[in-house]
Amino acid sequence: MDRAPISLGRAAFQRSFPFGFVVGRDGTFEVVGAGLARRIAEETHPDIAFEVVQPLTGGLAAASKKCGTIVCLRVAADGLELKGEVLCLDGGERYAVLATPVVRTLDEARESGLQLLDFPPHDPTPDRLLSMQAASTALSDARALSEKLETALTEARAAVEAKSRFLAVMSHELRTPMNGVGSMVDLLMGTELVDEQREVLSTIDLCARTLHVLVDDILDYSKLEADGVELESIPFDPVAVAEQAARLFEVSAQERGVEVSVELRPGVPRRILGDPHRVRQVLSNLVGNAVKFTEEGSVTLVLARSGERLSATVVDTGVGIPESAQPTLFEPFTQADVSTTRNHGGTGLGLTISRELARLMGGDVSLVESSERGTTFRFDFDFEHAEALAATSEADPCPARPSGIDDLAGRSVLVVEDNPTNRLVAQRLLEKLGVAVTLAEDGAQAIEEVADQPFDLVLMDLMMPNVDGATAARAIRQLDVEWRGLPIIAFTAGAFDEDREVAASAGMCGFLQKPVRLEQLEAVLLEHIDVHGHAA
Amino acid sequence: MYGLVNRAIEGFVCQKLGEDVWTRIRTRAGVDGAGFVSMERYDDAVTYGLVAAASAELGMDPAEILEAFGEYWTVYTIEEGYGDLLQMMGSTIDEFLDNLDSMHARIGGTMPGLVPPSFRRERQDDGSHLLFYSSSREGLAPMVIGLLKGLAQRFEIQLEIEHLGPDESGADRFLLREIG
Repeated sequence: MDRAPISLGRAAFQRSFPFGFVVGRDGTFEVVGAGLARRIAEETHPDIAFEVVQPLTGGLAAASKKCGTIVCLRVAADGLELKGEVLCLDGGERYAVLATPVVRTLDEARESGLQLLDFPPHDPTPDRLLSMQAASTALSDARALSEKLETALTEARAAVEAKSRFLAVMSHELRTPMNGVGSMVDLLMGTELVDEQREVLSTIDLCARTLHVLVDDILDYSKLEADGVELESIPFDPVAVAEQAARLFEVSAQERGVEVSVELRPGVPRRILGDPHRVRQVLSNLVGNAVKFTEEGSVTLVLARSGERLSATVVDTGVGIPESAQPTLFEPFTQADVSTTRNHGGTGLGLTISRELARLMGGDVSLVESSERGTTFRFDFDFEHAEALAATSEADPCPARPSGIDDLAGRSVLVVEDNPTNRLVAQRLLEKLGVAVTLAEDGAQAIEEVADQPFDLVLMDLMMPNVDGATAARAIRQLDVEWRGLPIIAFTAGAFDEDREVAASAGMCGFLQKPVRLEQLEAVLLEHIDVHGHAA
Repeated sequence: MYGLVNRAIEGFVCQKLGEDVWTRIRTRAGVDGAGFVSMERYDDAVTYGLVAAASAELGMDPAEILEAFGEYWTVYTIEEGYGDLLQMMGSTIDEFLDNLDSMHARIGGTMPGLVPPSFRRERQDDGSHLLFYSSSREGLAPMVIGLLKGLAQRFEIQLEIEHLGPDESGADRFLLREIG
């Protein structure tokens, strides 16, 4: 006969098997575990103390005959479930059941009045329950963090939205008086002035232009920072856009004897899909910088194509960029040196904005080289051909056309503008260009005017009482007159992409942003007025 | 230290002093606002840093802060879902203290790398108790005093606690006497 490997005294058994018990030859309890003893009296007969759940028949006595079998019991006094193994002793004359409580949660264990000591060290039940509790804690942590994140995200979105709204309003409000200042300076410049007056006026002019650039740059930078810039995808002629960008700086360059030119390499497409406004903005920045820093010689914008990528290289013969300033050139609010702002103006945001815009187009702006002999910047971006669209452009009221005229004298323009100052400014500027001006105070008047007579072009404000600009433009396109396809140009202080979308979707052909200067106005009119004209 | 402890410090400061104070304390300690995850392990330096920052921010001795935090800990663990476990640890403070090591041993199964303290209670002839506390971490004895105060409230007894300092083995000793 095998010797028992271990022998437990009564107290040790009670401690090691808190829910175990031994039944003797007479069928009564010999010993019960410490935990069980708190629930049943040792004198109770086992058949009364427990309800046998498994096996279903024969009760404890039958189960005790099958050594090693698993029994499921319920304590009759309080319903606590137990599960254990039957251990046959003395050839089956006595038996023990080594049971432990069956609990599924810590809560259930507590409610059953169980204590940690009711689970012997070899029983993993509490470990399992704690593990479940830990998982539940981790889950509620994750849920709490997720809620926190959601709240933070909502707040951040609201903040960005509030900032955008603020910027939109401020931008609009700033542009309206700036329009008056700049335009009046232009008009005053064309009058008889003594040298001192001209000098003062030049300073006002410089300040107005700087303010304009500042407002534009800060607005763009904020939009880029908030991922708020959406690029258009419309057909345009990149060569025409490059020429427009170059033309903007021709006068100021010529005044200093600097020549600005555009060169084309073979294979440059004339009609691509993209965002002409943003391409023009990047090119203007690069050409403007080049002109600003070139005292003599030339600025050349070279357009070239490589596969489905277009590059615009701006080469100048200027003073060059110091080597120490080159690494931080594209960082916001940096310029080659602090005296740059004083001498040449600007916010130090231009190149940052240009690079970000280029990257949105799948390209980049980079410094190719710079020395005392001059500087070369390159702007490249991916493009798609727009031939398919060109074939269906017959109904387009705004066909791409090369400038057909070089003199605006005798042309007619309808100015639709609710703000009296802006109306006066536009009228004076147009008259200065030799244009015949008709004024309308809102969209309703504009529709009536166009219904009555043809114009070469309409300058249309967007935000107006009664009938707004977009509604008026749509109505004009529906008029039963031959000239309903006349060019309508949005003329607005709104500077957001949405404003451009509103104008484009209403069938307007261009976008002239306030404040507008004489040369810009002239360039837009020359670009859009048809050589044959719509006016009789 | 598990995130559970750092979360408790956050909960303690927020409940007693408000969220603004917590923001100042965690900023001073160099902790971002992302929050702690209960079941994640953090460097002990984070916890000590929070206590030091709280001490500097509130002009309180670190020991005072640890004691107040210890008192809060029992309340906090109940709130965090460990109330059932605490209740299973005994119906008297003596049983509870006797079961602390077993509880930590059990918890170690679900918190890998847990470095818990160890407690041993010895009944004295005069009816008082000596509690021996050992920990691999330094300077947390004041927190034990707070814990004992919290437990006294939980078991609704008046407890006199005297910190006797370390014995020859290095274990910190506390003399506990139930009064009233």
